Amino acid sequence: MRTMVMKQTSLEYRNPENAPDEFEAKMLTQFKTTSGIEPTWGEDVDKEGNKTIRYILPLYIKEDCLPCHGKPAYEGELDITGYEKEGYEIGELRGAISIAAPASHLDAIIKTNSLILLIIGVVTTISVIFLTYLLIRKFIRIPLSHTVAATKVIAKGDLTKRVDIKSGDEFGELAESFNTMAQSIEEKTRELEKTTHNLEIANEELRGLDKVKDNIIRDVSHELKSPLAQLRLALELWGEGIKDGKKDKDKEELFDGIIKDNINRLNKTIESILELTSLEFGREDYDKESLQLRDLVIQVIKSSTLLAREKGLTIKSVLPEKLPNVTVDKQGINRVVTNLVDNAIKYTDKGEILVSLQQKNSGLEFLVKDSGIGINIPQEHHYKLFDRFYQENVATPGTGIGLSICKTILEAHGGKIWVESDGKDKGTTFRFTLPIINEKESSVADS
Amino acid sequence: MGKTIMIVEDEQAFHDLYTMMLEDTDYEIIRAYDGDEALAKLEEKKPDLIILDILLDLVTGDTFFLYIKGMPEYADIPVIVCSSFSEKAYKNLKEMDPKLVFLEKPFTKEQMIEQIQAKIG
Ligand SMILES: Nc1ncnc2c1ncn2[C@@H]1O[C@H](COP(=O)(O)OP(=O)(O)OP(=O)(O)O)[C@@H](O)[C@H]1O
Ligand SMILES: [Mg+2]
Repeated sequence: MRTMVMKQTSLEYRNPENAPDEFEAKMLTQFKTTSGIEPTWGEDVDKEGNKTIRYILPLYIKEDCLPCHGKPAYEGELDITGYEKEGYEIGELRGAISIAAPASHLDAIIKTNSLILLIIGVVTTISVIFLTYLLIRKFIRIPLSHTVAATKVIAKGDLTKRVDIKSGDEFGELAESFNTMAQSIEEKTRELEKTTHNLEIANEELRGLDKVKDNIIRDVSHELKSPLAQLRLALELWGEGIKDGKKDKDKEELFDGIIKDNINRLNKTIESILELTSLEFGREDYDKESLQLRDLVIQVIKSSTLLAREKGLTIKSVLPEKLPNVTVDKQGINRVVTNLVDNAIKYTDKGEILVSLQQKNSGLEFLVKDSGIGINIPQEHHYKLFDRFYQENVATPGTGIGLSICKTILEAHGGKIWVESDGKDKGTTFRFTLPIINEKESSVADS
Repeated sequence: MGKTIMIVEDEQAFHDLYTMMLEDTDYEIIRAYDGDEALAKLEEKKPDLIILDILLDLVTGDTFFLYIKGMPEYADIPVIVCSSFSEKAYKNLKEMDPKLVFLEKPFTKEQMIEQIQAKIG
Protein backbone atom coordinates (compact mmCIF):
# COMPACT_ATOMS: atom_id res chain seq x y z
CA MET A 1 0.00 0.00 0.00
CA ARG A 2 1.51 3.29 -1.07
CA THR A 3 -1.03 5.80 0.18
CA MET A 4 -3.42 6.33 3.01
CA VAL A 5 -6.95 4.89 2.61
CA MET A 6 -9.98 6.17 4.50
CA LYS A 7 -13.42 4.62 4.33
CA GLN A 8 -16.67 4.04 6.15
CA THR A 9 -17.49 0.52 7.12
CA SER A 10 -20.16 -1.40 8.90
CA LEU A 11 -21.13 -4.97 9.74
CA GLU A 12 -24.52 -4.20 8.22
CA TYR A 13 -23.22 -2.36 5.19
CA ARG A 14 -25.58 -1.11 2.55
CA ASN A 15 -22.99 -0.31 -0.09
CA PRO A 16 -20.74 -3.34 -0.89
CA GLU A 17 -17.76 -1.02 -1.05
CA ASN A 18 -18.14 -0.48 2.65
CA ALA A 19 -17.80 -4.16 3.51
CA PRO A 20 -15.34 -4.53 6.45
CA ASP A 21 -12.01 -6.28 6.07
CA GLU A 22 -10.71 -8.68 8.70
CA PHE A 23 -9.28 -6.00 11.00
CA GLU A 24 -12.38 -3.83 10.68
CA ALA A 25 -14.79 -6.69 11.24
CA LYS A 26 -12.92 -7.69 14.40
CA MET A 27 -12.99 -4.17 15.76
CA LEU A 28 -16.62 -3.61 14.80
CA THR A 29 -17.65 -6.72 16.71
CA GLN A 30 -15.77 -5.40 19.74
CA PHE A 31 -17.39 -2.00 19.41
CA LYS A 32 -20.77 -3.63 19.19
CA THR A 33 -20.47 -5.91 22.21
CA THR A 34 -18.77 -3.38 24.49
CA SER A 35 -20.08 0.12 24.09
CA GLY A 36 -18.04 3.23 24.77
CA ILE A 37 -14.71 1.96 23.38
CA GLU A 38 -12.35 4.74 22.33
CA PRO A 39 -11.04 5.05 18.75
CA THR A 40 -8.38 2.42 18.34
CA TRP A 41 -4.93 2.14 16.76
CA GLY A 42 -3.71 -1.11 15.36
CA GLU A 43 -1.15 -2.77 13.14
CA ASP A 44 -1.97 -4.90 10.14
CA VAL A 45 -0.48 -6.33 6.97
CA ASP A 46 -1.96 -5.49 3.59
CA LYS A 47 -2.43 -7.73 0.54
CA GLU A 48 1.12 -7.06 -0.68
CA GLY A 49 2.44 -8.02 2.72
CA ASN A 50 3.41 -4.46 3.71
CA LYS A 51 3.00 -3.40 7.29
CA THR A 52 0.23 -0.83 7.74
CA ILE A 53 -0.96 1.34 10.58
CA ARG A 54 -4.72 1.16 11.24
CA TYR A 55 -7.02 3.62 12.97
CA ILE A 56 -10.69 2.95 13.53
CA LEU A 57 -13.28 5.25 15.03
CA PRO A 58 -16.70 3.80 16.04
CA LEU A 59 -19.87 5.62 14.93
CA TYR A 60 -22.79 5.29 17.32
CA ILE A 61 -26.25 6.43 16.29
CA LYS A 62 -27.12 9.93 17.47
CA GLU A 63 -30.25 12.05 17.19
CA ASP A 64 -29.28 13.45 13.79
CA CYS A 65 -28.63 10.01 12.26
CA LEU A 66 -32.22 9.00 12.71
CA PRO A 67 -33.67 10.63 9.53
CA CYS A 68 -31.64 8.14 7.45
CA HIS A 69 -31.05 5.21 9.81
CA GLY A 70 -33.98 5.43 12.23
CA LYS A 71 -37.31 3.62 12.39
CA PRO A 72 -39.11 3.68 9.02
CA ALA A 73 -42.55 5.35 9.13
CA TYR A 74 -43.78 2.43 7.00
CA GLU A 75 -42.30 -0.84 5.70
CA GLY A 76 -39.65 -0.05 3.07
CA GLU A 77 -39.42 3.75 3.62
CA LEU A 78 -36.37 5.10 1.73
CA ASP A 79 -34.00 7.76 3.09
CA ILE A 80 -32.76 10.68 0.96
CA THR A 81 -29.83 8.62 -0.37
CA GLY A 82 -32.24 6.01 -1.68
CA TYR A 83 -31.47 3.26 0.86
CA GLU A 84 -34.11 1.66 3.07
CA LYS A 85 -34.16 3.00 6.64
CA GLU A 86 -32.92 0.27 8.98
CA GLY A 87 -34.63 1.11 12.27
CA TYR A 88 -31.59 1.88 14.53
CA GLU A 89 -32.07 3.41 17.96
CA ILE A 90 -29.91 6.06 19.62
CA GLY A 91 -26.69 4.60 21.05
CA GLU A 92 -26.56 1.56 18.77
CA LEU A 93 -23.41 0.92 16.71
CA ARG A 94 -23.91 1.91 13.11
CA GLY A 95 -20.42 1.37 11.78
CA ALA A 96 -17.03 2.96 11.87
CA ILE A 97 -14.59 5.20 10.03
CA SER A 98 -11.46 3.32 9.21
CA ILE A 99 -8.07 4.64 8.13
CA ALA A 100 -5.19 2.54 6.88
CA ALA A 101 -1.77 4.07 6.26
CA PRO A 102 1.56 2.56 5.14
CA ALA A 103 3.93 1.98 8.06
CA SER A 104 7.15 2.29 6.10
CA HIS A 105 7.81 5.83 7.23
CA LEU A 106 7.16 4.99 10.84
CA ASP A 107 9.34 1.94 10.54
CA ALA A 108 12.17 4.06 9.25
CA ILE A 109 11.90 6.34 12.24
CA ILE A 110 11.85 3.41 14.61
CA LYS A 111 14.87 1.93 12.93
CA THR A 112 16.75 5.19 13.05
CA ASN A 113 16.02 5.49 16.72
CA SER A 114 17.24 2.03 17.42
CA LEU A 115 20.36 2.82 15.43
CA ILE A 116 21.04 5.80 17.62
CA LEU A 117 20.59 3.57 20.66
CA LEU A 118 22.97 1.17 19.02
CA ILE A 119 25.61 3.83 18.58
CA ILE A 120 25.26 4.88 22.15
CA GLY A 121 25.66 1.25 23.12
CA VAL A 122 28.76 0.79 21.04
CA VAL A 123 30.28 4.02 22.23
CA THR A 124 29.61 3.10 25.84
CA THR A 125 30.99 -0.37 25.42
CA ILE A 126 34.14 0.90 23.85
CA SER A 127 34.48 3.56 26.49
CA VAL A 128 34.11 0.88 29.14
CA ILE A 129 36.85 -1.18 27.55
CA PHE A 130 39.03 1.83 27.17
CA LEU A 131 38.37 2.93 30.71
CA THR A 132 39.02 -0.53 32.04
CA TYR A 133 42.25 -0.49 30.15
CA LEU A 134 43.20 2.90 31.49
CA LEU A 135 42.28 1.80 34.96
CA ILE A 136 44.44 -1.29 34.72
CA ARG A 137 47.33 0.84 33.59
CA LYS A 138 46.82 3.90 35.65
CA PHE A 139 46.04 2.43 39.00
CA ILE A 140 48.79 -0.10 38.96
CA ARG A 141 50.77 1.85 41.46
CA ILE A 142 47.85 2.52 43.75
CA PRO A 143 47.13 -0.20 46.33
CA LEU A 144 45.81 -3.26 44.65
CA SER A 145 42.51 -3.43 46.47
CA HIS A 146 41.68 -0.12 44.93
CA THR A 147 42.24 -1.35 41.39
CA VAL A 148 40.35 -4.55 41.86
CA ALA A 149 37.39 -2.73 43.36
CA ALA A 150 37.26 -0.24 40.52
CA THR A 151 37.51 -2.80 37.76
CA LYS A 152 34.87 -4.92 39.41
CA VAL A 153 32.44 -2.05 39.23
CA ILE A 154 33.11 -1.67 35.55
CA ALA A 155 32.91 -5.37 34.99
CA LYS A 156 29.36 -5.21 36.31
CA GLY A 157 28.37 -3.27 33.17
CA ASP A 158 25.96 -5.46 31.27
CA LEU A 159 27.62 -6.30 28.00
CA THR A 160 25.18 -9.00 27.07
CA LYS A 161 22.72 -6.72 25.27
CA ARG A 162 22.11 -7.47 21.62
CA VAL A 163 20.22 -5.69 18.95
CA ASP A 164 17.16 -7.47 17.66
CA ILE A 165 16.72 -6.47 14.05
CA LYS A 166 16.12 -9.41 11.79
CA SER A 167 14.90 -7.55 8.74
CA GLY A 168 17.29 -9.15 6.26
CA ASP A 169 18.00 -5.80 4.55
CA GLU A 170 20.95 -3.48 5.04
CA PHE A 171 19.77 -2.79 8.53
CA GLY A 172 19.67 -6.41 9.37
CA GLU A 173 23.20 -6.74 8.10
CA LEU A 174 24.29 -3.70 10.00
CA ALA A 175 22.67 -4.92 13.16
CA GLU A 176 24.33 -8.23 12.63
CA SER A 177 27.75 -6.73 12.24
CA PHE A 178 27.12 -4.72 15.36
CA ASN A 179 26.05 -7.82 17.18
CA THR A 180 29.18 -9.57 16.04
CA MET A 181 31.19 -6.66 17.27
CA ALA A 182 29.28 -6.47 20.53
CA GLN A 183 29.93 -10.14 20.98
CA SER A 184 33.60 -9.86 20.26
CA ILE A 185 33.78 -6.86 22.56
CA GLU A 186 32.00 -8.87 25.18
CA GLU A 187 34.38 -11.76 24.78
CA LYS A 188 37.27 -9.38 24.89
CA THR A 189 35.92 -7.69 27.93
CA ARG A 190 35.67 -11.06 29.60
CA GLU A 191 39.31 -11.58 28.77
CA LEU A 192 40.02 -8.20 30.25
CA GLU A 193 38.17 -9.20 33.37
CA LYS A 194 40.25 -12.31 33.64
CA THR A 195 43.31 -10.19 33.11
CA THR A 196 42.14 -7.94 35.86
CA HIS A 197 41.68 -10.91 38.10
CA ASN A 198 45.26 -11.87 37.43
CA LEU A 199 46.25 -8.56 38.94
CA GLU A 200 45.67 -10.08 42.31
CA ILE A 201 47.99 -12.96 41.60
CA ALA A 202 50.60 -10.98 39.70
CA ASN A 203 50.71 -8.14 42.17
CA GLU A 204 54.46 -8.11 42.53
CA GLU A 205 55.27 -8.17 38.83
CA LEU A 206 52.78 -5.45 38.25
CA ARG A 207 54.63 -3.09 40.47
CA GLY A 208 57.52 -3.44 38.08
CA LEU A 209 55.62 -2.15 35.05
CA ASP A 210 56.47 1.29 33.74
CA LYS A 211 54.43 4.32 34.36
CA VAL A 212 51.72 5.44 31.98
CA LYS A 213 52.96 7.85 29.42
CA ASP A 214 50.84 10.69 28.21
CA ASN A 215 51.40 9.85 24.58
CA ILE A 216 50.16 6.32 25.11
CA ILE A 217 46.77 7.67 25.99
CA ARG A 218 47.09 10.16 23.14
CA ASP A 219 47.77 7.60 20.46
CA VAL A 220 45.26 5.06 21.68
CA SER A 221 42.58 7.65 22.01
CA HIS A 222 43.18 8.78 18.43
CA GLU A 223 43.03 5.20 17.21
CA LEU A 224 39.68 4.73 18.96
CA LYS A 225 38.06 8.09 18.43
CA SER A 226 38.77 8.64 14.77
CA PRO A 227 36.95 5.48 13.66
CA LEU A 228 34.22 6.22 16.16
CA ALA A 229 33.75 9.66 14.67
CA GLN A 230 33.38 8.16 11.21
CA LEU A 231 30.98 5.51 12.43
CA ARG A 232 28.84 8.04 14.18
CA LEU A 233 28.63 10.42 11.23
CA ALA A 234 27.98 7.64 8.74
CA LEU A 235 25.16 6.24 10.84
CA GLU A 236 23.72 9.68 11.45
CA LEU A 237 23.71 10.61 7.77
CA TRP A 238 22.42 7.23 6.75
CA GLY A 239 19.60 7.48 9.27
CA GLU A 240 18.73 10.91 7.97
CA GLY A 241 18.56 9.68 4.38
CA ILE A 242 16.21 6.92 5.43
CA LYS A 243 13.97 9.30 7.35
CA ASP A 244 13.69 11.49 4.27
CA GLY A 245 12.73 8.40 2.32
CA LYS A 246 15.65 8.81 -0.09
CA LYS A 247 17.14 5.68 -1.48
CA ASP A 248 20.60 6.05 -2.94
CA LYS A 249 22.50 2.85 -3.68
CA ASP A 250 25.86 4.56 -4.11
CA LYS A 251 25.60 6.31 -0.79
CA GLU A 252 24.48 3.17 0.95
CA GLU A 253 27.51 1.36 -0.36
CA LEU A 254 29.72 4.17 0.81
CA PHE A 255 28.16 4.12 4.28
CA ASP A 256 28.35 0.38 4.41
CA GLY A 257 32.04 0.50 3.46
CA ILE A 258 32.87 3.19 5.99
CA ILE A 259 31.06 1.35 8.74
CA LYS A 260 32.66 -2.01 8.00
CA ASP A 261 36.16 -0.51 7.71
CA ASN A 262 35.85 1.30 10.97
CA ILE A 263 34.46 -1.64 12.84
CA ASN A 264 37.45 -3.63 11.63
CA ARG A 265 39.76 -0.84 12.64
CA LEU A 266 38.27 -0.65 16.12
CA ASN A 267 38.41 -4.39 16.47
CA LYS A 268 42.05 -4.44 15.45
CA THR A 269 42.93 -1.80 17.98
CA ILE A 270 41.06 -3.51 20.77
CA GLU A 271 42.61 -6.82 19.84
CA SER A 272 46.10 -5.35 19.83
CA ILE A 273 45.62 -3.74 23.19
CA LEU A 274 44.31 -6.96 24.66
CA GLU A 275 47.00 -9.05 23.10
CA LEU A 276 49.69 -6.84 24.49
CA THR A 277 48.07 -6.74 27.90
CA SER A 278 47.90 -10.48 28.06
CA LEU A 279 51.49 -10.81 26.82
CA GLU A 280 52.64 -8.44 29.49
CA PHE A 281 50.78 -10.13 32.23
CA GLY A 282 52.41 -13.36 31.20
CA ARG A 283 49.16 -15.00 30.31
CA GLU A 284 50.37 -16.07 26.90
CA ASP A 285 51.40 -19.69 27.09
CA TYR A 286 54.27 -20.55 24.84
CA ASP A 287 54.03 -23.92 23.24
CA LYS A 288 57.55 -24.62 22.06
CA GLU A 289 58.45 -27.08 19.34
CA SER A 290 61.54 -27.74 17.25
CA LEU A 291 61.18 -26.45 13.70
CA GLN A 292 62.85 -25.06 10.59
CA LEU A 293 62.61 -21.30 10.81
CA ARG A 294 62.97 -21.26 7.02
CA ASP A 295 59.60 -22.97 6.52
CA LEU A 296 57.88 -20.52 8.77
CA VAL A 297 59.44 -17.53 7.00
CA ILE A 298 58.41 -18.90 3.58
CA GLN A 299 54.84 -19.19 4.81
CA VAL A 300 54.80 -15.57 5.98
CA ILE A 301 56.30 -14.31 2.71
CA LYS A 302 53.69 -16.22 0.76
CA SER A 303 50.84 -14.63 2.62
CA SER A 304 52.35 -11.15 2.35
CA THR A 305 53.11 -11.28 -1.36
CA LEU A 306 49.71 -10.02 -2.40
CA LEU A 307 49.93 -7.01 -0.12
CA ALA A 308 53.39 -6.21 -1.45
CA ARG A 309 52.31 -6.60 -5.06
CA GLU A 310 49.42 -4.21 -4.51
CA LYS A 311 51.97 -1.58 -3.59
CA GLY A 312 54.23 -2.50 -6.49
CA LEU A 313 56.91 -3.94 -4.21
CA THR A 314 58.87 -7.15 -4.67
CA ILE A 315 59.97 -9.42 -1.85
CA LYS A 316 63.33 -11.14 -2.31
CA SER A 317 64.54 -13.83 0.00
CA VAL A 318 67.81 -15.55 0.83
CA LEU A 319 66.94 -18.60 2.89
CA PRO A 320 69.65 -21.31 3.10
CA GLU A 321 68.27 -24.81 3.29
CA LYS A 322 70.48 -26.56 5.79
CA LEU A 323 70.08 -24.48 8.92
CA PRO A 324 69.66 -26.04 12.35
CA ASN A 325 66.20 -26.19 13.94
CA VAL A 326 65.09 -23.72 16.56
CA THR A 327 62.82 -24.55 19.47
CA VAL A 328 60.10 -21.94 19.49
CA ASP A 329 56.44 -21.23 19.87
CA LYS A 330 55.33 -21.42 16.25
CA GLN A 331 52.45 -18.99 16.57
CA GLY A 332 54.49 -16.45 18.48
CA ILE A 333 57.42 -16.41 16.08
CA ASN A 334 55.03 -16.37 13.16
CA ARG A 335 53.55 -13.25 14.67
CA VAL A 336 57.01 -11.68 14.99
CA VAL A 337 58.01 -12.37 11.38
CA THR A 338 54.60 -11.25 10.12
CA ASN A 339 54.76 -7.97 12.03
CA LEU A 340 58.22 -7.20 10.68
CA VAL A 341 57.36 -8.05 7.07
CA ASP A 342 54.08 -6.13 7.32
CA ASN A 343 55.91 -3.09 8.64
CA ALA A 344 58.46 -3.27 5.83
CA ILE A 345 55.60 -3.24 3.30
CA LYS A 346 53.64 -0.59 5.19
CA TYR A 347 56.54 1.84 5.44
CA THR A 348 57.88 1.38 1.89
CA ASP A 349 56.42 2.93 -1.24
CA LYS A 350 58.80 1.68 -3.87
CA GLY A 351 61.68 -0.69 -4.36
CA GLU A 352 62.19 -4.08 -2.80
CA ILE A 353 62.16 -5.89 0.47
CA LEU A 354 64.84 -8.40 1.33
CA VAL A 355 64.26 -11.20 3.80
CA SER A 356 67.13 -13.43 4.87
CA LEU A 357 68.21 -16.03 7.40
CA GLN A 358 71.70 -17.00 8.40
CA GLN A 359 73.52 -18.84 11.16
CA LYS A 360 75.56 -16.69 13.53
CA ASN A 361 77.52 -18.41 16.32
CA SER A 362 74.98 -20.24 18.45
CA GLY A 363 71.94 -18.60 16.96
CA LEU A 364 69.96 -17.87 13.81
CA GLU A 365 69.71 -14.31 12.58
CA PHE A 366 66.66 -13.13 10.71
CA LEU A 367 66.79 -9.94 8.66
CA VAL A 368 64.22 -7.85 6.83
CA LYS A 369 65.54 -4.88 4.90
CA ASP A 370 63.38 -2.36 3.09
CA SER A 371 63.93 0.66 0.85
CA GLY A 372 61.27 2.74 2.56
CA ILE A 373 60.85 5.87 4.67
CA GLY A 374 63.64 4.97 7.08
CA ILE A 375 63.91 6.01 10.70
CA ASN A 376 64.01 9.72 11.36
CA ILE A 377 64.92 9.76 15.03
CA PRO A 378 68.58 9.55 16.15
CA GLN A 379 70.03 6.14 16.83
CA GLU A 380 70.12 6.54 20.60
CA HIS A 381 66.32 6.83 20.50
CA HIS A 382 65.75 3.77 18.31
CA TYR A 383 64.76 1.69 21.34
CA LYS A 384 61.57 3.77 21.52
CA LEU A 385 60.22 2.04 18.40
CA PHE A 386 59.85 -1.08 20.54
CA ASP A 387 57.88 0.75 23.19
CA ARG A 388 54.16 0.19 23.36
CA PHE A 389 52.15 2.62 21.28
CA TYR A 390 55.18 4.48 20.01
CA GLN A 391 54.82 5.71 16.43
CA GLU A 392 57.14 8.16 14.77
CA ASN A 393 54.08 9.71 13.26
CA VAL A 394 50.88 9.63 15.28
CA ALA A 395 48.77 9.89 12.14
CA THR A 396 49.93 6.55 10.66
CA PRO A 397 47.29 3.88 10.82
CA GLY A 398 47.85 1.18 13.41
CA THR A 399 48.42 1.33 17.11
CA GLY A 400 52.18 1.25 17.39
CA ILE A 401 52.36 -2.00 19.27
CA GLY A 402 53.50 -4.42 16.55
CA LEU A 403 57.15 -4.04 17.47
CA SER A 404 56.59 -4.20 21.21
CA ILE A 405 54.78 -7.49 20.70
CA CYS A 406 57.81 -8.73 18.69
CA LYS A 407 60.15 -7.70 21.45
CA THR A 408 58.13 -9.34 24.22
CA ILE A 409 57.87 -12.63 22.34
CA LEU A 410 61.52 -12.71 21.32
CA GLU A 411 62.73 -11.99 24.82
CA ALA A 412 60.63 -14.85 26.12
CA HIS A 413 62.63 -17.04 23.70
CA GLY A 414 66.01 -15.75 24.78
CA GLY A 415 66.28 -13.74 21.55
CA LYS A 416 67.06 -10.14 20.70
CA ILE A 417 65.69 -7.58 18.21
CA TRP A 418 67.18 -4.33 16.91
CA VAL A 419 66.90 -1.85 14.08
CA GLU A 420 69.30 -0.04 11.75
CA SER A 421 68.64 2.88 9.44
CA ASP A 422 70.72 5.59 7.81
CA GLY A 423 67.91 8.07 8.34
CA LYS A 424 64.89 9.51 6.60
CA ASP A 425 64.09 7.86 3.24
CA LYS A 426 67.19 5.68 3.49
CA GLY A 427 65.37 2.42 4.22
CA THR A 428 65.26 0.35 7.38
CA THR A 429 66.65 -3.01 8.50
CA PHE A 430 65.20 -5.02 11.36
CA ARG A 431 67.09 -8.03 12.72
CA PHE A 432 66.42 -10.58 15.36
CA THR A 433 68.26 -13.59 16.72
CA LEU A 434 67.01 -16.82 18.21
CA PRO A 435 69.26 -19.26 20.05
CA ILE A 436 69.85 -22.71 18.55
CA ILE A 437 69.39 -25.38 21.15
CA ASN A 438 71.06 -28.65 20.00
CA GLU A 439 69.26 -31.97 20.30
CA LYS A 440 71.03 -33.03 23.47
CA GLU A 441 70.46 -29.77 25.30
CA SER A 442 66.88 -29.56 24.24
CA SER A 443 66.11 -33.06 25.47
CA VAL A 444 67.76 -32.16 28.75
CA ALA A 445 65.69 -28.99 28.85
CA ASP A 446 62.54 -30.98 28.13
CA SER A 447 63.09 -33.38 30.96
CA MET B 1 27.13 33.56 -4.06
CA GLY B 2 27.95 30.61 -1.79
CA LYS B 3 30.81 30.81 0.62
CA THR B 4 33.87 28.63 0.33
CA ILE B 5 35.02 26.09 2.89
CA MET B 6 38.42 24.42 2.74
CA ILE B 7 38.55 20.99 4.35
CA VAL B 8 42.00 19.73 5.29
CA GLU B 9 41.75 16.09 6.24
CA ASP B 10 43.87 13.06 5.40
CA GLU B 11 41.23 10.34 5.53
CA GLN B 12 39.11 9.83 2.42
CA ALA B 13 36.17 8.57 4.49
CA PHE B 14 35.98 11.86 6.34
CA HIS B 15 36.00 13.77 3.05
CA ASP B 16 33.12 11.63 1.81
CA LEU B 17 31.19 12.22 5.00
CA TYR B 18 31.77 15.98 4.92
CA THR B 19 30.61 16.09 1.31
CA MET B 20 27.36 14.36 2.19
CA MET B 21 26.95 16.48 5.29
CA LEU B 22 27.16 19.68 3.28
CA GLU B 23 25.44 18.61 0.06
CA ASP B 24 22.20 20.43 0.88
CA THR B 25 24.00 23.72 1.48
CA ASP B 26 25.44 25.98 -1.18
CA TYR B 27 28.92 26.16 0.26
CA GLU B 28 31.69 25.55 -2.20
CA ILE B 29 34.11 22.93 -0.91
CA ILE B 30 37.84 22.79 -1.49
CA ARG B 31 39.45 19.52 -0.45
CA ALA B 32 43.03 19.07 0.69
CA TYR B 33 44.56 15.85 1.94
CA ASP B 34 47.59 17.29 3.71
CA GLY B 35 49.08 20.56 4.86
CA ASP B 36 51.19 20.93 1.73
CA GLU B 37 48.24 20.61 -0.60
CA ALA B 38 46.23 22.97 1.59
CA LEU B 39 48.91 25.64 1.33
CA ALA B 40 49.00 25.33 -2.46
CA LYS B 41 45.20 25.59 -2.69
CA LEU B 42 45.14 28.59 -0.38
CA GLU B 43 47.12 30.49 -2.97
CA GLU B 44 44.60 29.66 -5.70
CA LYS B 45 41.59 30.82 -3.75
CA LYS B 46 41.08 32.23 -0.29
CA PRO B 47 38.34 30.28 1.54
CA ASP B 48 35.89 31.84 4.01
CA LEU B 49 36.45 29.05 6.51
CA ILE B 50 38.92 26.24 7.12
CA ILE B 51 38.04 22.91 8.72
CA LEU B 52 41.28 21.35 9.86
CA ASP B 53 42.10 17.90 11.12
CA ILE B 54 44.97 18.42 13.45
CA LEU B 55 46.69 15.06 12.97
CA LEU B 56 48.07 15.24 9.47
CA ASP B 57 51.16 13.72 7.95
CA LEU B 58 54.20 15.76 6.92
CA VAL B 59 53.04 19.34 7.39
CA THR B 60 50.87 18.63 10.42
CA GLY B 61 47.65 20.43 11.25
CA ASP B 62 49.18 22.56 13.95
CA THR B 63 52.10 23.60 11.74
CA PHE B 64 49.65 24.55 9.03
CA PHE B 65 47.57 26.47 11.55
CA LEU B 66 50.54 28.40 12.90
CA TYR B 67 51.60 29.16 9.35
CA ILE B 68 48.31 30.72 8.23
CA LYS B 69 47.89 32.63 11.48
CA GLY B 70 51.31 34.13 10.85
CA MET B 71 50.39 35.34 7.33
CA PRO B 72 48.56 38.68 7.32
CA GLU B 73 46.46 37.79 4.27
CA TYR B 74 45.18 34.52 5.79
CA ALA B 75 45.19 35.27 9.51
CA ASP B 76 41.56 36.39 9.49
CA ILE B 77 40.14 33.14 8.05
CA PRO B 78 38.15 31.42 10.80
CA VAL B 79 39.31 27.88 11.61
CA ILE B 80 37.48 24.89 13.06
CA VAL B 81 39.90 22.29 14.39
CA CYS B 82 38.78 18.65 14.62
CA SER B 83 40.75 16.42 16.89
CA SER B 84 40.57 13.24 18.93
CA PHE B 85 41.86 15.16 21.90
CA SER B 86 40.19 17.75 23.98
CA GLU B 87 40.82 21.42 23.68
CA LYS B 88 43.28 21.36 26.55
CA ALA B 89 45.85 19.59 24.41
CA TYR B 90 46.05 22.63 22.16
CA LYS B 91 46.21 25.54 24.54
CA ASN B 92 48.95 27.18 22.48
CA LEU B 93 46.79 27.30 19.35
CA LYS B 94 43.97 28.90 21.27
CA GLU B 95 46.40 31.51 22.53
CA MET B 96 47.27 32.43 18.95
CA ASP B 97 43.66 32.68 17.91
CA PRO B 98 41.11 33.08 20.70
CA LYS B 99 38.26 32.65 18.21
CA LEU B 100 39.48 29.20 17.22
CA VAL B 101 36.77 26.54 17.53
CA PHE B 102 37.51 22.98 18.65
CA LEU B 103 35.38 20.00 17.83
CA GLU B 104 36.38 16.87 19.64
CA LYS B 105 35.84 13.61 17.76
CA PRO B 106 33.37 12.02 17.61
CA PHE B 107 31.14 14.98 16.77
CA THR B 108 27.67 15.08 15.20
CA LYS B 109 26.56 16.69 11.96
CA GLU B 110 24.52 19.16 13.97
CA GLN B 111 27.53 20.28 15.99
CA MET B 112 29.56 20.79 12.86
CA ILE B 113 26.84 22.68 10.96
CA GLU B 114 26.19 24.84 14.01
CA GLN B 115 29.84 25.86 14.17
CA ILE B 116 30.03 26.53 10.45
CA GLN B 117 26.93 28.70 10.58
CA ALA B 118 28.18 30.57 13.61
CA LYS B 119 31.33 31.40 11.68
CA ILE B 120 30.11 32.20 8.19
CA GLY B 121 26.32 31.97 8.22
N1 LIG C 1 60.03 -0.82 8.30
C1 LIG C 1 59.89 0.37 8.91
N2 LIG C 1 60.33 1.51 8.31
C2 LIG C 1 60.20 2.71 8.92
N3 LIG C 1 59.63 2.88 10.13
C3 LIG C 1 59.18 1.78 10.77
C4 LIG C 1 59.27 0.48 10.20
N4 LIG C 1 58.73 -0.40 11.07
C5 LIG C 1 58.29 0.32 12.11
N5 LIG C 1 58.56 1.63 11.96
C6 LIG C 1 58.27 2.72 12.89
O1 LIG C 1 58.08 2.16 14.17
C7 LIG C 1 56.77 2.48 14.65
C8 LIG C 1 56.24 1.36 15.48
O2 LIG C 1 55.99 0.22 14.67
P1 LIG C 1 54.91 -0.83 15.14
O3 LIG C 1 54.90 -1.96 14.20
O4 LIG C 1 55.16 -1.12 16.58
O5 LIG C 1 53.53 -0.03 15.07
P2 LIG C 1 52.68 0.43 13.81
O6 LIG C 1 53.16 -0.24 12.58
O7 LIG C 1 52.67 1.91 13.80
O8 LIG C 1 51.22 -0.05 14.20
P3 LIG C 1 50.73 -1.59 14.39
O9 LIG C 1 50.41 -1.69 15.85
O10 LIG C 1 49.53 -1.70 13.54
O11 LIG C 1 51.85 -2.48 13.97
C9 LIG C 1 55.97 2.77 13.42
O12 LIG C 1 54.87 3.61 13.68
C10 LIG C 1 56.99 3.45 12.52
O13 LIG C 1 57.12 4.79 12.88
MG1 LIG D 1 53.32 -2.34 12.59
